[in-house]
Amino acid sequence: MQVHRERDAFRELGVQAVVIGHSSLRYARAFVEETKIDLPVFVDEKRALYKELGFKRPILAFLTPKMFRRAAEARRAGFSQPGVYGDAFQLGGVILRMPDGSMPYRYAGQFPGDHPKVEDLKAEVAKAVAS
Amino acid sequence: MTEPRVKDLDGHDTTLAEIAKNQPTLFIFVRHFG
Repeated sequence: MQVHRERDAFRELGVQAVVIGHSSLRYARAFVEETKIDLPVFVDEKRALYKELGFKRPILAFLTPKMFRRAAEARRAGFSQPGVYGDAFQLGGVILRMPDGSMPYRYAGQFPGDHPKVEDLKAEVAKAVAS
Repeated sequence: MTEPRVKDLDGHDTTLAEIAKNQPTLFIFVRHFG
């Protein structure tokens, strides 16, 4: 996860990063144990937030060549995917939420492996925090 | 409207509002654990 690698850069911007997954606490704990991730991890067991935020679950999106391209890029960058737990068709996303409840940034993945480039994310976060 | 709740690794319920109450927070919703 690139944001994990860049977590100090986000901290310097005054922003904390946290990870939210679905499925169950058991898988979340296994994820933390396996990845040694140094970010807080939470579980949205019923995917209620995924639905509320409009993060899709499009089965056909899994047939796009982009997914295979992104998977190859991720492998080259040293990321691997040992297994899938929970709803395999659920896509992810990113939001920036401010203490006043506003949400100046939202990115919804359109296919597996689709996520914002970390440099774009840093720029968006810096802009939101500065305004 | 009640905000959906999430659980921390100890099983305690919380909300995005609670997590982000003191600091801008980037929430990364992963496609899956694994």
